[in-house]
Amino acid sequence: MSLMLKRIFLAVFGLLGALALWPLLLALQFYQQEFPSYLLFSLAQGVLLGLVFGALFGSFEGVVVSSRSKAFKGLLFGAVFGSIAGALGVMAGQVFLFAAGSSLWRTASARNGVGLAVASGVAWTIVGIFLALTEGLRARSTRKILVGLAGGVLGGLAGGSALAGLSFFFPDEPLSLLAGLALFGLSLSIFWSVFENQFSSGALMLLNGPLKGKEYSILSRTMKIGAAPDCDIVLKGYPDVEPLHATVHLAKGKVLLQQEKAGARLLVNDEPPAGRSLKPEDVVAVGKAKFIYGYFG
Amino acid sequence: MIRPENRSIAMKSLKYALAIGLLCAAAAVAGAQGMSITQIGTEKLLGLQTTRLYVSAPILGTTPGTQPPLFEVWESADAKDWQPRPVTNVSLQPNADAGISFFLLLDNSGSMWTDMDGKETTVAADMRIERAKVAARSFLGALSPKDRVGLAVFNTRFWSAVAPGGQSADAARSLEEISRPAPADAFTELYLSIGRSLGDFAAESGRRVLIVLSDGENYPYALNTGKPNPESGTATATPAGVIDQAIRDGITVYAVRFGSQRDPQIANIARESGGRAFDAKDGDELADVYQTIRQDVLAEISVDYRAGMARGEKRWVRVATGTTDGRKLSATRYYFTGTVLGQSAQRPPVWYLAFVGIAALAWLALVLFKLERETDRAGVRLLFGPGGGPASTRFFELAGAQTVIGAAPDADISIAGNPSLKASHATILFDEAKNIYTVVSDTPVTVNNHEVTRKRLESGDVINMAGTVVVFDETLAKKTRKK
Repeated sequence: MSLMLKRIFLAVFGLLGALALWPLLLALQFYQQEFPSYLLFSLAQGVLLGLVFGALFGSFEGVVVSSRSKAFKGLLFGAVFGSIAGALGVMAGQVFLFAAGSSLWRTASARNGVGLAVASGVAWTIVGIFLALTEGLRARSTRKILVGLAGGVLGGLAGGSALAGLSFFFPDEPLSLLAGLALFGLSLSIFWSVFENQFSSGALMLLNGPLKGKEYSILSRTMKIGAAPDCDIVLKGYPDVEPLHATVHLAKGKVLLQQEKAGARLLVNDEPPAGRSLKPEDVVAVGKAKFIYGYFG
Repeated sequence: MIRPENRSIAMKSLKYALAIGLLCAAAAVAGAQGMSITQIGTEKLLGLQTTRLYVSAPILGTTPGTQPPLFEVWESADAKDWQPRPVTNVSLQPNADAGISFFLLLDNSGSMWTDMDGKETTVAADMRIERAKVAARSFLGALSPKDRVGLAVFNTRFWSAVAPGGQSADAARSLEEISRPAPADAFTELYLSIGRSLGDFAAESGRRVLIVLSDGENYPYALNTGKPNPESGTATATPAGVIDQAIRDGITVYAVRFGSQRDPQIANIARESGGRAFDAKDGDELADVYQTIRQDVLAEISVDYRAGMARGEKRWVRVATGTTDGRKLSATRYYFTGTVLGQSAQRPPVWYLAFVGIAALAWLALVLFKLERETDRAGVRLLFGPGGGPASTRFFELAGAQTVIGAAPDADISIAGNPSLKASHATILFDEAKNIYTVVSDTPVTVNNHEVTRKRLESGDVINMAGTVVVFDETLAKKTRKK
């Protein structure tokens, strides 16, 4: 999948999240009076939002690399992690309202109005940061966590403000919630993609076979290439690829390839890699699969 | 958080609920009987789910047998369907301990400088303003050190003499600075000034009491002169707007109508905000009114209860109690709460759930559907133009045994846009018997970054022809089958 297509996909994921959440949140709000307190009511909304967006963003990488098992595992991981993120975000918003609310908004009308809107904005920003961190934690990659932090802070701030702001200015309009959720999902995905590209040390683009055109951003210290589904680059359907064929190592900005099985075909520009770091336009052969290394998009 | 002693009160209240349920229901029908809710405090609503009612019931405690046995509280979103709420704490005279924040709003329009009959006078002591000052001074002198005071004076203009939360001595000093307004400044901007005072007062904590003294009707400058007010321009205020503001910020307005001319709406503003309206014909009556207001507020009872989660920002609350000698008391008011993530007052249609289904199906489709397809044709795909230009997804199928690639329009694969590319730059030969593809070229091309003039190709090889970079592609599946 090319970078552009990947970005469009991620944006679509954000919009799908908004679409799924909208009726669920409306229903939750309708049953507001069944909740014993504002805290639990807010928690339920936070958990629901985190769960849906977390599941979608968690499964994204799996969809990008066309690995169903990775997509479903990511879905579960994202759902669990997102739910926790949603709860934490709402708690943080509540703590904020508690700690700063009475000094920032000293009148009852301000606390119930702007104060509450800003506190929800804070809550959704924090949920956004956590959601953007999902992929980094799933992949256990420091750089992806950095991508998540940067993308989450900006995306969460923009999306959280939009979500809280629209609800504040149009409280009786159900469509404002949909628009807010859509903006939340979109800004998270857009900022995430932007920073993913910024932080990556180039990408490997597959040149042939069923997955040709896919770009794998190099963000993790170690990436596994092979036919096994737990690899980072899963080469399913490619001849002569071992379950764990090779690893890509990232050290001090240099990208190195290492053979993981004796006799496995691993070539850079038709020669054994021999500890040389990759430079743009190098052609990498893994079994019968061929990649070109470089900075795309 | 409910403290243990509060919890026990709550428990007791539950035990008694059945016993006095009928009594309260009867009281609810009867409406307010000698009891009113003067202020509703929402400071602890969002954090601790606690709302505080300040209840004024002068009858309670004044005669033997009138101690309140219990308070019962109900909430409703529509004033029709009432849900009981647990009472967590009841305090008698909470305002004596915490102090009361008073805000005096004093009329200083032209008529305040006449005598009680509205006649011009040169005797200062006969003027309404002097009588008002004397009464205010005596009120300020009687306040407890815990009480806080603010003072504002209005006519056409608004003078914030002492900000809310100040000392009574400062307010007393400021009274002396009140001077007679020029004719243009002598209008009565009553509603606008009440609104302004409410805004200044809202940030005070605890029990907030605004006492408005006016000797006339709202008489706005802009409306009566056709010119903008020198301070507030064309801004206007309505009684309804003032009432809404007072309720939203939990401020009780007490109105004192001084003299014979009375504003028709000010009593309503006072009542709706939880307060009362008084008439005073002279300075002595005025001093009594001030003391009555203070005594009423001091005698209030606070009722804390665990607030419900009714939808919408406007919420009704009803409090009821009975005296031990069988008298029933109840009061109803509304207040405003915040909403989290908007509010959904209407049940969302069930078919909205289809959106969840659509999103789930779309997700599943994206997971199951593979955009990528293995090619079943051999060919080349343009990767970069010269200078690493934009990547293209164009695919050129090979012609057969011999495919010429070049810039010439009649080449088998004609690639435009690179002036260094020769008319016939390279040729890909196909040996069908051995299923072998070979690239040949007179001028060297690079295959996988090695310069060659002839090389056997395999799927995914990258051929660079003078800056035009293509990928040779053939199906991997076919290769495996042939193996």
